[in-house]
Amino acid sequence: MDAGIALSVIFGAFLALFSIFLVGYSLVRGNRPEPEAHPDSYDGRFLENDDPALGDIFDAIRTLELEYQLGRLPQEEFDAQFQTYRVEAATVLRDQLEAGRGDPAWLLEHDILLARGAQDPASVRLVPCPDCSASVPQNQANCPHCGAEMVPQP
Amino acid sequence: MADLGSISLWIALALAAYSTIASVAGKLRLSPALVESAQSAAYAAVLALLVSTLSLVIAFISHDFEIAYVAAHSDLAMPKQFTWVAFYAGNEGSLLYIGLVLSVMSAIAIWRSPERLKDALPYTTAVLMLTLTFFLAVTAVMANPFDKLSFVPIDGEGINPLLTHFGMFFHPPALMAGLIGITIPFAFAMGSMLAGKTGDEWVDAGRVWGIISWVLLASGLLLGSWWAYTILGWGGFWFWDPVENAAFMPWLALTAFIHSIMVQKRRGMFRMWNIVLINVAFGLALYGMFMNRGGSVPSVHSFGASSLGWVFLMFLAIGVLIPFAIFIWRYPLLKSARNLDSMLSREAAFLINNLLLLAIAFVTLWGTVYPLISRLTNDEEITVARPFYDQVNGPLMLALVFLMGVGPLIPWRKASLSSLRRSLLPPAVAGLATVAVLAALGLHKDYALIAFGLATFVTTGILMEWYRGTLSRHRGTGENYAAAFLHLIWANRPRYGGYIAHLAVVMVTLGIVGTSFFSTQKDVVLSPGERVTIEDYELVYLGSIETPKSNRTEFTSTVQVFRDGELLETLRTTRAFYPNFNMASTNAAIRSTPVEDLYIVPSENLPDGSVGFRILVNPLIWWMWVAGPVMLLGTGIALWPQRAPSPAQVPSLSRSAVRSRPTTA
Repeated sequence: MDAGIALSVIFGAFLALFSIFLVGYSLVRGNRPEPEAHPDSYDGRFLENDDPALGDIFDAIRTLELEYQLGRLPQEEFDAQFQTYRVEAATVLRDQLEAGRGDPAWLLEHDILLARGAQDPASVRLVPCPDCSASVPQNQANCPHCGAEMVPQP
Repeated sequence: MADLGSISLWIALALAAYSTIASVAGKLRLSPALVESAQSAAYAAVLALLVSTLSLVIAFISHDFEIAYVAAHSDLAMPKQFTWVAFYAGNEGSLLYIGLVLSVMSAIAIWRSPERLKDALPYTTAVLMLTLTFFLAVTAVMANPFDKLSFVPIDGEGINPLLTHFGMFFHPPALMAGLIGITIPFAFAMGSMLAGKTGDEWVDAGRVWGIISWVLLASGLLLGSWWAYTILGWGGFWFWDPVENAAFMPWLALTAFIHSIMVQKRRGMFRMWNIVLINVAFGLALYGMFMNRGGSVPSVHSFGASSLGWVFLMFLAIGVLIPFAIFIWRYPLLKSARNLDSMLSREAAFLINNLLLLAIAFVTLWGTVYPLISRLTNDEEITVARPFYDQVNGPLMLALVFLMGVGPLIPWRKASLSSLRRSLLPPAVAGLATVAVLAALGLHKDYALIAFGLATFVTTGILMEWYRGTLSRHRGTGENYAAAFLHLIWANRPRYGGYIAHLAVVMVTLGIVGTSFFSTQKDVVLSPGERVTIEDYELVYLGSIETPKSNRTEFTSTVQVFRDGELLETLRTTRAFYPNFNMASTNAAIRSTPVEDLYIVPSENLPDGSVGFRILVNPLIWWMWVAGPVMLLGTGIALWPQRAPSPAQVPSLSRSAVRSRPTTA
């Protein structure tokens, strides 16, 4: 046999064996316990937020949407209530953060707010941007993240 | 190398086929180990195909003319850098390239698949690997690039001269990768449907992979246009050739999809529509590949007479009918979370944009298949030419540019008339002012006036958004204007990346309008020392030099360019004749500025030293080529991974609530 062909066959056989090992390894090892969801995965962290207060707000929004879809609620009323629930959810999330002041993310946010307004972040009322959902101080006319116009709060 | 390449190809085929079967079996038998094994097979297939590809590349470099494909697409005189081009210059190599790209993209898609798609992933893997199995089976059985000749020729036939151009390093691979890349969002959609996950779970992955395929197709189309402009020697860049159309149509469908998927992501709407769009895009991509490989419509791009046409036609039929059947099966579950609130909303603008894009795709499809239909019905082949496409698609494209300006400026859900007036008035005024000024300056071509007005309208809208956001950020955070602008873009990358891509479309519009309405052309024969005038340029032909090369004879002509008596530049343009191919290739001399291109190309070198030149002045075409990098920049920004929202941010509850607990209404 030609040396080149022999070398090709040996290398090819090695490749085939490696592939069989790779494919067979999972089968031999068997089923593993379910892995934890990666915090940076597409899921985000809020969908898995199991705070009962947040769950209640979600339920309320669900009911509100149902009412709206059934035509029992005018548009303006729906918008106003929906916005209120969003702000409530923001407050819950903020409370969660307050509870975990040691969290580096909280500290960072705290520093940013201090740098922005030189005031206690607890006194800054934040409202969600209607476009990108970022937290925006209530007195801002436009969202500093995306530039969208802020809806005036009641 | 031929044997190793062939063995690796067959190993990759076996792995892809195993992965397809094991994914489905693992899912049905509830065996995560089997599903994981199927995914490992998908990863191993990448390795096998890399070995196969490397074998072919090494065979080209080492001039292994025993391999028929190497002998047919290279020779000893071929510069080494064109090895990469020669690799996909023919049917066999390009199929191997498609297989490699699909396997790499599939492996990344499976590896980075979101956790919430876990239930659907086995089906997604099966769809991906089934497609890969098809391509590898066709490559291994019907178009194997490692087939050997019964003898070893001293030299090969050489690479097609038209492919020895810088653009060829990127144009075909980008287009092929874009076409096959549509399989990834399609597979996520189909996997989710098969698993009964008919909500919004697949949206993020579908959007990311949809944009990747979209930008690959866009880059491929632009680079192809640039290649045609500089080397084909007719001074244009788009011919409405069937295979150009075949890449253009899936791009249109993908453009509709990447906009529409945003509506589903933000508002939980258009669920059915997005499935339809990705099916259409996938079907059109398969149609494009069918056209390219033995399709029944003649084209300068197709891989010559090929027996693969019927195989691709069958795959096209399967790739359209089965997804349609799955769609019908899951139809009752595909209800959107909510309905359109108002026709004056961003969602509605997206919907109309989608319909326009599909209308353009349909018109293009009709023009492309019309020769076939006319042959079947009248026994006479009628080819549809450029005027048809220009007359029908032109107004549709202008309407699309208009919507591109309106869409980003109106809010989601419902716009009030006062907010619309506030957002749209300044860009509208700027657009109308542009029309008025140009008309006053003596421009009286309706379409061109409208197009320039719309280009100003869109650009003003985008600049206004940037200005408003930067100002707001500057006031809110105290950042200087430059930092505020950059942070604004960075804070909402999908939105502002999209705006940059829109600016690139405006640039393309300028290029198309400039060359379509204001181009000047002159065909002249000049003897050495003779002059010709075009627009305000005066050209002096100095003479030609004939240089014999190993595989061609090159004629380099020198032309001096004057304006107002002042020498601007000395340009050299070449025309080479390849006796092996009985073919000439040209390399145009182009003096390019943002205002206009002066384009000189020799059409014929006569024995007495005189040369036939085609000379064009193409206004604004420079913007078209600049649009490519701008589009890449915008897409890169839009795709740059965004971390999960920081804990202080508020989630969009409308999405969260609906996704986590769908309403029953």
